[in-house]
Amino acid sequence: MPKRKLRGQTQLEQATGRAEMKTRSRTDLMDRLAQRPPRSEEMDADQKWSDVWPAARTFAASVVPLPVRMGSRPNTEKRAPFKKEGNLELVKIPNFLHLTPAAIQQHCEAIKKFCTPFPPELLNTPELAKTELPISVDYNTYVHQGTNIRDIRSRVVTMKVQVAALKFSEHALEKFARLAANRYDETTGILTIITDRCHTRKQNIDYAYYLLTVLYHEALKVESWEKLSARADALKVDFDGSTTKSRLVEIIEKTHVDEKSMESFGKMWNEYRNTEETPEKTREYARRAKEILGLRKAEV
Amino acid sequence: MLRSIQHVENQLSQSCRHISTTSTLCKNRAGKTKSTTNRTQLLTYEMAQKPHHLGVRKSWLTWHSQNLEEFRQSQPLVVAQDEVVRRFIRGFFPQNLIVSGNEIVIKRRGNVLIVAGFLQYSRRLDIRRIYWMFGFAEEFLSILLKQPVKLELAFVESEKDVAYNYI
Repeated sequence: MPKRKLRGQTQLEQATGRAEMKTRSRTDLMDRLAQRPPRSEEMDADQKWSDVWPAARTFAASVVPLPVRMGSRPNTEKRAPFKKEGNLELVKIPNFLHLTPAAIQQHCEAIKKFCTPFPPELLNTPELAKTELPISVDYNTYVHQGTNIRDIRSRVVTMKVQVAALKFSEHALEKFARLAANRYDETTGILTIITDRCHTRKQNIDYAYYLLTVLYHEALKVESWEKLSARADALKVDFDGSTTKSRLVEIIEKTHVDEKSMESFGKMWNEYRNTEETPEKTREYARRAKEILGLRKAEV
Repeated sequence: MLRSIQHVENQLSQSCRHISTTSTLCKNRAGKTKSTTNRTQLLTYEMAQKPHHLGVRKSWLTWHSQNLEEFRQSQPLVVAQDEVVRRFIRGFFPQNLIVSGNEIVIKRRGNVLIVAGFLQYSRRLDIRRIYWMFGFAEEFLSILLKQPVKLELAFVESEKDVAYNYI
């Protein structure tokens, strides 16, 4: 009787599931050549990972030499979560294996030669941008997914201009304000041009610059009929030529008020008439009016 | 034959309309698997998790951004494309499928469509043949869907490698 199990015995055990079925490599040479350990087992510890995984791609268990596991188990102490080979959850999720710190550094080094440093003056004083860079152009870019990755909203361009940088005269500024209408915000001094009528962003930016040029040159022009404008046509009420002034002059002639206080009162009057009315401003107006007329100061 | 046609005509002339009614089958079967006595039924992770675990324990088989608000939405197109891709992969790699090709992940990034998932070596994996098939499938689907299609299907030895549990 030999010591090893008889063939019939092993067959019986295999059939009943007590013995492990040994699978031998097939005699086929192609099969034996096709067998190869996964790539992750042959990797060096000091290899360049960005060469192995240069771009975004789906997780591949045979390439990543990390002992990753993913998935839930009712009791992880008893049975560890699902292994990385054949793990569909790892395949599903987007991974950032191509964006390792080293890879990002390498990328930054490569594109450094195309970049210029950010102006240090602007870093120190951000208000400098207002005077030095009076035009700002805003647009949105949309990251999309689908057969067509264009987005119609990306064509919209918003251009903001600091009008003070255009150095208009008083007359030109008034004409400019009339032409720009609600696009010009007087309180902040910013002109906002939004263009979306052309198909591409480039065309819209060009159109915005064209509009700015036209506005500027139109504002500088003085037409012959502009001389005909009367006091009532002005955008703002002026102290000079007002009935207040003429009446005041009459009174002053009687009370002998000097030119300086007249001037300062005119300045206050201009501000009072051309800005929003508040109780404080009205009180100030009353105080100054009494002062200039030499009346007794109002008690608070 | 003529007689039979006559017979059909007679039947048609005599037929009248009926409403067919059946009792409702109140059966909720989603995510319920029947276990076997000797625990031979293979369950993948995808199958083992219940539908209400979607987004918690398991993630989606299709990834796209067409359901984002304010973006141009074409969900029906995406669903149709997915079905085309899945059916094509199922039909094109019949020998290499695991779990009858139900678990193919489709991811969309930019204008690229990425097909991921697992295939098995069947009897023998002819590398030349499989490369050719991958190339053909990519090219064919790219032309069909008018966008680049990439196959990132990985190979496992057999269906056992994706088994999460046996019930």
